[in-house]
Amino acid sequence: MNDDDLAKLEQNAFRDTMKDGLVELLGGTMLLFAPIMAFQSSFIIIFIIFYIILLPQAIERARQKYTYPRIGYVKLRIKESDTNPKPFLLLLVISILATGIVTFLLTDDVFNLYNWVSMLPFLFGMIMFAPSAYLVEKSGSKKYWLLGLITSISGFIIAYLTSVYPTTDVYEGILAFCMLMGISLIVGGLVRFLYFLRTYPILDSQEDAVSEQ
Amino acid sequence: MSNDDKDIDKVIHEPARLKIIAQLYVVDSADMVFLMRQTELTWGNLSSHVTKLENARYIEVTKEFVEKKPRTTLKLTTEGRKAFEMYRENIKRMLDV
Repeated sequence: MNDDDLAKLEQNAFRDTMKDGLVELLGGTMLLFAPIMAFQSSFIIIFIIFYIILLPQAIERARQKYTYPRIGYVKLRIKESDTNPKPFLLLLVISILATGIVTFLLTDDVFNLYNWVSMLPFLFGMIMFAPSAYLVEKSGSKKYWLLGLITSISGFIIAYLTSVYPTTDVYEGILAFCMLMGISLIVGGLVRFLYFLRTYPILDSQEDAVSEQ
Repeated sequence: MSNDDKDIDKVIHEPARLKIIAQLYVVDSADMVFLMRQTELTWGNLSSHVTKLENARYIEVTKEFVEKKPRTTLKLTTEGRKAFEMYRENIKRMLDV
């Protein structure tokens, strides 16, 4: 049992935790409502409570009811490398530089704050490579690169359309991006959840039989 | 290859128990349902090997009720983790020509 075998076991365990689609539902909901939190400061406390306390609790309750009886419960190990901020900071710097380049190419003026704000969809799309890379490493599945790729391309398209057809509200681009990504993740998560319920029946655990005696 | 098998931990060196302990090594904790799926052991077989590992103090077993259903959660002890690492080292040493 070498290091590769153990790495594969760990990746299998991680993939198991992603099977129910609830992570996508959580991510999609957060993306969908994030702009409201960002732009309506009076809602910040409500949404912090929602995001930090209520939503994770709701997801855990859903898992206890639907996921764990089907595929079992596993708590993954958190490694030091998981909490190291350096890779994310590096990606942030690269994303900002890339956004600067795109801003220059599309608008010729990188010193205008309005142009940077209209490029926010592209910046956010690029930042999504961070969870992409995390998921690829943890799951061993390269398909998760698609998340970063799709969000970057979508972000670029929305930013480009915003620069070609300027709107009265400079934040419309980022709002559209968050709504599009949020709804896509929610729909994807729901589809995955329903497929999960169909594919994995509730297992007849011997523990139930023992407890009924 | 060394013929000295005194260093091989006989508790771990059984295919089913090796699967269980390897699975628990890469996670923080897991329940019996998860282990049953991952190791493809039957419930009775899994329970029997879990008992042996528990008696050797390599795993700790916690029984609780979650949503009115029983759940048995397993976790590798520090001793179990060290024993598995030692087992891997010894096997590697034995196989090194």
